[in-house]
Amino acid sequence: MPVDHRRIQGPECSEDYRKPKNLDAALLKKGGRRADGRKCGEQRKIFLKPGVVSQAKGSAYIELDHTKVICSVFDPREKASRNVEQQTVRGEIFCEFKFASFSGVQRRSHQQEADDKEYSLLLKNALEPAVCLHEFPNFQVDVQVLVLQDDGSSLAAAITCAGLALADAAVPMYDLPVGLSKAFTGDTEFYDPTGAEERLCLRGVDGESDHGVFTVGFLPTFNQVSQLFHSGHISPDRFEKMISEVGTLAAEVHKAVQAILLSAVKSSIDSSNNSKLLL
Amino acid sequence: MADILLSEAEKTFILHGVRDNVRNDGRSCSEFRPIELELGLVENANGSARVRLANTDVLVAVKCEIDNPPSNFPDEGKLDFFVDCSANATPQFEGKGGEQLAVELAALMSRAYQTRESFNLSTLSIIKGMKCWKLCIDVLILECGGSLIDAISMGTKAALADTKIPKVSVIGSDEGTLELELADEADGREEPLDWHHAPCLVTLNKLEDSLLVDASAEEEACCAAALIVGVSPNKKITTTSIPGHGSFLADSKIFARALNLAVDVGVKLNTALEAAIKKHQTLKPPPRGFLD
Repeated sequence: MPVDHRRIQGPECSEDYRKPKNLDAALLKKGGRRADGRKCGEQRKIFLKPGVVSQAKGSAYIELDHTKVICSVFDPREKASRNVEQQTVRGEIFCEFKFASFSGVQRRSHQQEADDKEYSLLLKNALEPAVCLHEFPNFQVDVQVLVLQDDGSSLAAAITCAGLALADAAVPMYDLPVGLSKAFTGDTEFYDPTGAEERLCLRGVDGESDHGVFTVGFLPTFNQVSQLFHSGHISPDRFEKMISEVGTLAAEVHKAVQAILLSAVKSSIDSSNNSKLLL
Repeated sequence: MADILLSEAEKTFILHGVRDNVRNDGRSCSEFRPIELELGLVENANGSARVRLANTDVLVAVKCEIDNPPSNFPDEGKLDFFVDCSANATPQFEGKGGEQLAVELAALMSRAYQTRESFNLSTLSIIKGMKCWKLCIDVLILECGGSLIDAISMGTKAALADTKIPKVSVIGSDEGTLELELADEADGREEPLDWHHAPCLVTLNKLEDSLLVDASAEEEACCAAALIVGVSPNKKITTTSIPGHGSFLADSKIFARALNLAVDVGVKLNTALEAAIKKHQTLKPPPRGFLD
């Protein structure tokens, strides 16, 4: 995103009037259920819709309760190569990840901040193994992801959403990438954490040494982990145990994405058949 | 990082060697190349370190500034990473070329130091809710020869070990304005940070079934995937990431091997680094020319 010199930024010392609430671990788990009533290993209900942006080649919108992410994929365009040596036989995916200014409690800058740039790279690394880059040498496919509302697991949602958008844009792919995330503190594990659960587990609860959040980019058909992004404090055996569960967790999300893609293709065939009848 | 072009024959040669646990320079798959460490080079910084890992040269400087603490954690300080890929390292870093790599490395470092167990930010607080120390950690990449993040993490830990924060006391509040005073010579001007739990990041490159530690640029060109693991001295993992366009089979055996190897190597690296820092601090070698 180009730097904007013209817009007047608010004074730097201004802050949101709401004091952020600090989290209490006890509140997050009552009677074996989480704050929103889910079990620890339960995924939030997913709403996925491809083809939401008419001007883009392909697009998708995902909703995981309060996390809302929209993704657009544009036609391949020629890469501006800086020097002849950099021309390769592979194409490129250019990912731009952005949290909307109103996506969280604190207002975010309208330009990319440090974590937007970090997530862009992580998303790119998660998607690249799934795309047949050799099919469009010297071209780049633009993937723009915008998080409209962030309530945890936004990177995981973005990976799933971008995968569906790439499929909707008919970009040749090996597999549909799926994003998953898990937060854990002490012995408690929260699958598909909300924003509050993520913040708590990143911080850690006093007295519990293992804590953290990890996001996995997964290719279910090939059983490949394309991205393993983690922050926290954990022993290696515990970590390895959690990775081994990823395959089964991803299968659920993968089935949903496949079903939606199939029904979208079917309905577009039906509508084109119907339009022929009208003629 | 600079791209190396290798022929198929060269790649096969490296692969065959790695299968027998022998690499081009005679190391085994889990050995680091010789590392040089120097502390206290930059006069205007509160702490600095230079790490030379074979062809990779990294200079890390820590500067302390007084800032307002974050509103949601008023009794903590701040840690800010900035990586500069200087055009000295390779012409590809000229202008904005190195920006993407710089962002990736800075983000990785901030994540590795994010938790209280790695670095306790509450030690940086001066007055709760009003003033705190902000440590600006600036990394300058002088030369780029593989294992960048490993060198940067070692340099950061060493620079933090070298950092002395001025002792500050609050004197009188004159109708709301606070005055901070630096401690005088008699009381001991500065105090060190608690850097002992800081993590070291280890990059593992996967070549067929083997995992290479500290891969040279040629070896990196052959490897399909890499895994970066941040390891703290008490054998815990602080961060992981899969850079680049590779992917790993979700077979727990390869992850188990990779994580165990990373933790093993990481702990040894942390121990060796601590020993070297201690030696440097006690012996106080005479000042030599910069980049000697």
